[in-house]
Amino acid sequence: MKKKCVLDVIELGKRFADVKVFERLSFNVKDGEIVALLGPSGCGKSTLLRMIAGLETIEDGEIVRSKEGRQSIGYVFQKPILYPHLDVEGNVALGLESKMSRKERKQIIQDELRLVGLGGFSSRKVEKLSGGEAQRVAVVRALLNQPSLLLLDEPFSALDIASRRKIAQDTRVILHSKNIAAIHVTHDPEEAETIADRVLLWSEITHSNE
Amino acid sequence: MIGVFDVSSTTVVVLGERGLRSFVVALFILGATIPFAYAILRLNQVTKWTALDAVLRFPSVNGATEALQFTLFEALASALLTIVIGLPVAWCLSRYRWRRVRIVRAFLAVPFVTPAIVAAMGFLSLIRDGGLLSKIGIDLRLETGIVGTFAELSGWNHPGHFFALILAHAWFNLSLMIRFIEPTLSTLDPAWEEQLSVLPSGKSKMKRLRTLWVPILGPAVLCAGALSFLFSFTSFALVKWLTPKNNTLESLMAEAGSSAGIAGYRVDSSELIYSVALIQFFILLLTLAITGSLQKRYTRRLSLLSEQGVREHHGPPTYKAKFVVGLGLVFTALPFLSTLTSSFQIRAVSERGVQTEWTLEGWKKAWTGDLSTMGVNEAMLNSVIYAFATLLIALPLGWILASTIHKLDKRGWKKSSRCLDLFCMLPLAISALMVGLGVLLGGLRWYPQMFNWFFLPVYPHVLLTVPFVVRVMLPAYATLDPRYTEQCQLLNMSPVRTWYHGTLMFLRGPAVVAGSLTLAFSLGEFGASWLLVRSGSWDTLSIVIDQLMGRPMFDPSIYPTAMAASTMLMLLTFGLFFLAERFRESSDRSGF
Repeated sequence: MKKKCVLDVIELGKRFADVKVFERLSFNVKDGEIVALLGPSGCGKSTLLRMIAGLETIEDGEIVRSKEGRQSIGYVFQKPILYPHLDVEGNVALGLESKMSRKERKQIIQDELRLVGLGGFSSRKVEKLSGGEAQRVAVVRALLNQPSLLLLDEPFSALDIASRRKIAQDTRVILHSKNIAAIHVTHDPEEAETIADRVLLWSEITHSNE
Repeated sequence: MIGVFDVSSTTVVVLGERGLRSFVVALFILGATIPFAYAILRLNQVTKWTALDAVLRFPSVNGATEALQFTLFEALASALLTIVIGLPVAWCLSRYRWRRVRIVRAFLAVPFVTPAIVAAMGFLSLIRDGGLLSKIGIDLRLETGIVGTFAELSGWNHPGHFFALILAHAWFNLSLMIRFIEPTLSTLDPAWEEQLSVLPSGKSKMKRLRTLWVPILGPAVLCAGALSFLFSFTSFALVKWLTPKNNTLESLMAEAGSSAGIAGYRVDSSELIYSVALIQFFILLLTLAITGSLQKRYTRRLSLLSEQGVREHHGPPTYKAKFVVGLGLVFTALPFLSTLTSSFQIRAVSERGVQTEWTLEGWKKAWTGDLSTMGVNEAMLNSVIYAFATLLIALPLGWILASTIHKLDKRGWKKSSRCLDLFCMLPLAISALMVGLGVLLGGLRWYPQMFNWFFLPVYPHVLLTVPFVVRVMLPAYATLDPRYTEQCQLLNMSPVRTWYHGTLMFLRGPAVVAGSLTLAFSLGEFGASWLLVRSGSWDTLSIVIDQLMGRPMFDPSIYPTAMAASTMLMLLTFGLFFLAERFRESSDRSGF
């Protein structure tokens, strides 16, 4: 059976003032598929993700998503955005609907943290976490609300090679088990191969980034 | 379908936010300009002068030229003395690994939030006959001994009073030097100095001074100096009590203020206020513009490292550094200790002559009050009510103004942002007394029934404290990482939760600092309250202290009573200030 698209990017363009970032960029992502976007630094990969997430305005082209609203999108930034006034559990809880009972919420968070090897980290302060641990917390939080699409903006680039490979593999397993589609942008071909079902070269999907 | 999400709710939130911002900005602009426009109109009507007439006739106004000369001279001398005393202390404090550096820094900063009337009492107790300075032969009050000889030889009238005033101003502004210089110096990469010392242009101390320290510290020193000039120029309580024989522009206006603005009555008072206020306004505006441009250069980011690392690199303080910082601490503590001890001392005349005895009478009288002066308990309640009312208005107002200035700047509307920023600083350029005069002439002379409104002093207090809130919150906004808010939006949080997690939680510290400073400044405010508090039952602590010191001193208990009241106001302010310091972040570069 043919899978339906969760995201269709059609002839998208972006410029900041007089500077053209990219133009006529097109690609799609199917349900549950992990796509890696491979491109050099500064080509506009992060801008593209921000446009998909609705953080940047769209001037040219179109972004068509199967589900609308920000809740259908998860986003993991290059630097994990964890709130220092909350502990690990508090940070992860931000990704959950507030209607849930406290007990239920605690249980879900603990289960999810255990899944990424952070069982017992619930009450830990975020400044005590290593780079890899912090990024895992950010990934868990992004996935908690069952988004249809996860955007990963070079989230593992600050980690050492071994940690990077491990966390990329773990993320892939989790995404597949939950059937969540993802776009992973990176400039590291090995990381792209590790995590993705399909690797797209930036030069192939855009007509110009000069 | 085209990348726009939650259109209706987002639009409502954006419109609501814009509406609130516009309302607050308009409210502040109107609130800060209407009384002054009315005041000018009133003076215009009473004197029949235009604004240009008022400026041109300044030299013919009785006592104005002398007051201007004295004001410029004392403000300039005060700024120079602040640099001479403050620079070595700031240098030594910044360069070494001090134990409990936060406490030392906080203690050296206390004078800046000390109410002016308390500072005046502290210095009066130091220089008065029998005070510490006169005991060591420096009689600045009665000008006997070496000070008297100097006065005779130089032909200078009352140099002792002048020295006392500039010393008090330097004491007051010492923290400005530390707050401006220390953050730069204590985080500066030591490699810069080391690299220079092995280069030809940095071989000698003089060369390093010219090529490294002057370019790096120069703007900070000038900025602190310009602010010291500004605060010394508009100082009122210290001038009133330390140089009773000289007038500054501020004290000249205070004298004439109560009889100005009344048609057909003492028109010379209105002429004086009109002329002096405009000249003072232009001078202060110019100073503020210079300070603003210096501050811009000062806040330019240098190669900053962690403070702890830099301090470790320089090692423990040398004996010379300990001596300099020790002197700074003693200088800071002396007026406070002198006020405290004076509150327990009473003069007794016996057969053996005049003697000083220890007593609690001053504290008892201060607390209960008497027929002519309100008790401290009641005055403190008034002060606290005014301070909290000021806080409730000034903090949200200043906060929204700071966030609006930041937002305008981020959106690329640099000129609008700069204009609003400058406008928010305007009440500082007008001085506390002029704000009071503005409300008095602009409001009360048109609507005398405002006299019966208990909360009237809150109005000038709000205008005077909003600039401090803006100055504290603005740098905090600049360091706010927008990704936290974006992350909240991506997690589909409500606007309130987004603001709570993405903004409020990061601005708690600066907000507490701004709030505590607002309370402290309002508690100690003197100039505007002195003009506006006309009903005896509204007296604040500052006013009570001034009233006590203004009474004839034939009753020996009056002096310790004033000192006891002063000590209580001092302790109240200290408490608030140390609360603010607990929440101050090491990266705070607001200068306040």
